[in-house]
Amino acid sequence: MHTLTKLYATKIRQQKLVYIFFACFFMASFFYAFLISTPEMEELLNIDVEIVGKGNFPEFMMRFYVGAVGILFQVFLLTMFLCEEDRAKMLYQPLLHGESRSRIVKSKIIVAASMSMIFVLLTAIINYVTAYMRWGSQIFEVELVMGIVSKYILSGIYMSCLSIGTIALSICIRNTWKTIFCVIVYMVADSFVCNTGILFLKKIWIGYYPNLWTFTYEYRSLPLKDALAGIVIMVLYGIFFYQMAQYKIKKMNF
Amino acid sequence: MEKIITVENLRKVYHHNIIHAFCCGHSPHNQADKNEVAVENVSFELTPGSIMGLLGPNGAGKTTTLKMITNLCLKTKGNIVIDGISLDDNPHMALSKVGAALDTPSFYGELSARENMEYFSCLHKDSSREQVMELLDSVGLSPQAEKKVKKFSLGMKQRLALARAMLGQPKLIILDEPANGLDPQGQISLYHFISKMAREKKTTFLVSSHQLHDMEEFCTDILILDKGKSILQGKTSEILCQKSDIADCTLEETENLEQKLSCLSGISIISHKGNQFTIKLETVTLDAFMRKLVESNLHIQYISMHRNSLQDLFLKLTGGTEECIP
Repeated sequence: MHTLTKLYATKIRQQKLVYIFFACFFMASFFYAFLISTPEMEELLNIDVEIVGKGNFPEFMMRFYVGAVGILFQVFLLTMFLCEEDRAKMLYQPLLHGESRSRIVKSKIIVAASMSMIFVLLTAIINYVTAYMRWGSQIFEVELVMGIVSKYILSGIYMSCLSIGTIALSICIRNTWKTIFCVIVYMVADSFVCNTGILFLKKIWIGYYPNLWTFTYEYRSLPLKDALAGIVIMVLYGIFFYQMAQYKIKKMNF
Repeated sequence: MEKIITVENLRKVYHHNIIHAFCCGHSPHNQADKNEVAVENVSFELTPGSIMGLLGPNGAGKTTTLKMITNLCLKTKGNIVIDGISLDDNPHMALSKVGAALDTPSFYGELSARENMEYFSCLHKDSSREQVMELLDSVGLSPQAEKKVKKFSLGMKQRLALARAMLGQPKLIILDEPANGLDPQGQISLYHFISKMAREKKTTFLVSSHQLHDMEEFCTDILILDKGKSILQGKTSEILCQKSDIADCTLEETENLEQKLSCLSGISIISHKGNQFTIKLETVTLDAFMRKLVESNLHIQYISMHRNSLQDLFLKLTGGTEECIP
């Protein structure tokens, strides 16, 4: 691994916020697993624990992470990672020590995309651990687990793609709160686009596929055709965001 | 003679647009705002071991010039060649010869001085832990090597920034107002350190500063910028050789006093307020000037003489007043 990538990875690893977030996520997952199976909560939330609990609980919680919490958390972390470094005049320091602009972006993107994958993996582990603690080994039904794991992998790709987008946006905007605002606008736009009747627009919209996996094929296995279409669209978005980040950093005046 | 850096016709124009306005939070009001010329036709060259003082009022384009040399800011026009390598053709190779400390010194506050140095030394192939400790020692920070940088004073951060700029043993070191935040002893030791490095290791320095007196003392070359343009440059010794004696005098009020005075040969009036004049003695000595005054029936109430310094020159060229200088 390149030295700069290692240094950036170390910086992310040292963020206390990551550990606090996952501790909170674990607690939320743990309490939710126990709460949803109480008769009072079942009645209050109008949910059927046979559907959202047991083996389906990791998928139920994945929606919670990929839908909003995870996106906001990683956006906050990544904009801090880039915009705050830029504001503190630390972003350009590697340039004064023999690194290129292109390498800075490449390293940031590698770290951001890997971080998103790892975070999704962590949420999967946390959700399976809490589900196991609540319902025992009955959650491990092979076909069900395979379906949910594939959805987690696709969510990892989606989150990585969003993190590359966040890096690109941060480089363009160079302001933490404005970048976060733009991502919130994206999330609002996402719900509109996903509910629109224009199928073509939906099919080229990055947020459509996670929606498809988590809602249309809720607690069901995903058709291969839709999974592949989602991967292709996300890879294309990823390449576009990467090129945009590279283009912007080469034009940037520090 | 070998040149460590050659800068030719450097120009920088900032183009502001709507996207820039969104990012920076202010919108351009007119065309001049949209296209702001920050640096215009700046050229200079430096030989190994020289120290160039880059002077100018705030907003003169000093930091932009330094940032263009380090490629942090993209130039609109011009050529920069560092140690024979063009910055356009091979920026990576050219910048490997440069160390720089620009803007307010910034570090990872949670890390110690040593850890910060090691963090950046990882990016240099030939840097070692020993070299890091040597550099910290050379700037007098070895006793604080394990202290977190967030607890450092501005002066200590300046010294750490200098140590960081020296990682990889660069041939050219660029420092942007390195004396900011340093106490007088710190400033003196910084200038001694720079002079020693330039003398013994033939390291070239490009230093921007507002400390005119110090610049006069230790810089071998001077470049004064104003509104992005070079208004004076050359060897410090040559610039100061041109300096002339200045006489401050108060004369007895008479009719057409200024006119009578301006008729005298060998002098020029720099400024005056009532019957108080500041006069440049161009080709005459003070004695000769006083004789001329007596011969012209101009009665002296008070007279004193001083030498034109870099500060006087700076004020004259940039149109400032002495009150402007801190």
